[in-house]
Amino acid sequence: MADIHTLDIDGLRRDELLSRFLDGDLTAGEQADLEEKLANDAGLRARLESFKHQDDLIKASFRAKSTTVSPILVARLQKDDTQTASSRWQGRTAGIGLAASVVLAVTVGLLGLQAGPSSKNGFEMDASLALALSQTPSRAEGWDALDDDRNFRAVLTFPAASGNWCREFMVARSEDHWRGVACRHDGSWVTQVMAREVFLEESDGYRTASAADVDQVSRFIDAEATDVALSAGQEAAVIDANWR
Amino acid sequence: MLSETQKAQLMAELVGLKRFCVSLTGDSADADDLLQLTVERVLERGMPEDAHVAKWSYRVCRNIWLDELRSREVRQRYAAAASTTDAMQSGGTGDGFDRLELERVDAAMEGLPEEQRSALLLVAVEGRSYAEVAEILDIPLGTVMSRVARARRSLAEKLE
Repeated sequence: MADIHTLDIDGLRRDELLSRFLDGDLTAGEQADLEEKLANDAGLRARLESFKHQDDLIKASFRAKSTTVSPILVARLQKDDTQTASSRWQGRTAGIGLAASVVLAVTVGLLGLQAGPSSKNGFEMDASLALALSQTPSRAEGWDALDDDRNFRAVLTFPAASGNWCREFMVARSEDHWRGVACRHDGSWVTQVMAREVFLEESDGYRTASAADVDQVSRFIDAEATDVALSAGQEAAVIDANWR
Repeated sequence: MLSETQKAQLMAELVGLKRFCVSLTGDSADADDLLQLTVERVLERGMPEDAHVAKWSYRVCRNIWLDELRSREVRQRYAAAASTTDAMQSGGTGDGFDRLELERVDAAMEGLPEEQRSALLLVAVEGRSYAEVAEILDIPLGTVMSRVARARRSLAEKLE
């Protein structure tokens, strides 16, 4: 530990002033004083520039890191669903104070990569859905009418490893809810993965999702997304550019 | 219970909260768990109608992490290998900086005490004011100033 003879008190004070200046925390008087000193002291200016450069590096580093948020978590927040998948911490497993006997479980109809629509699960990519994917901004809640008996919600847009744009979306038709991802390919929307969401009722509590019921949609996004979901402004620009 | 407005505000904070979790835990998997537990805690317990959603959530996050540290009885250090892996997996070099520079700053951040690292992240990356950081971290304003300045000073020494 440095003793009183080696502590660079002046250096500490200088760095604190520069740090507060960078963060906009100086009073008007302090700022005026410091600006005058900066104008006359090249060393001080260089120190400030190095702090600024460090900040830029830190921002770039943290923004380049995995700052994606699990779509499962986003969906949970949207639904205000406190049921949770297993956490590694303290051996916690799903469920926090659930009193209701109705549980949402996701059963998966994994279509995988395919070049066209599939009728396996009763849901197909069609002109209405393609138009909705092309034009509809993402939203956290609420639905847009797709046609007479279906509603649509775009959930998020993200860039995929293939270089194409992809969108997570939901479709609801009476009791049937679907969640999927479609990606642009040669000017068309192609379904990549679909999952049918099913509500199960249990009489003696709730059933946690088994390993087999893992959300394939989320896993697809985790595997394919090369960056965080677009912001509203970014997405609007991509929609305006017709997904080019 | 959260109001719809509070939920929307919390949703808007998720990415920043995730970065905060990374700064606290130093590990991507732990950061995901911490974020999940934070959201669950906030949803379970709600918050006052007039609460500042961001500040409240960051405080909940930090308190959960402190509880976790106490229960583990081990102080984790930020893992350079995990951060390098995360940066590589992101597929980008980050705003035009080369990978080597980013790796150097990652390593330098690794060497900071957690309290300095999280204060600097909240100010420099998340753009929080000193007053907000003082509330989030539950420390005096002067301590925020000192930690942020010391963090920058230490980084400057390491990156010279």
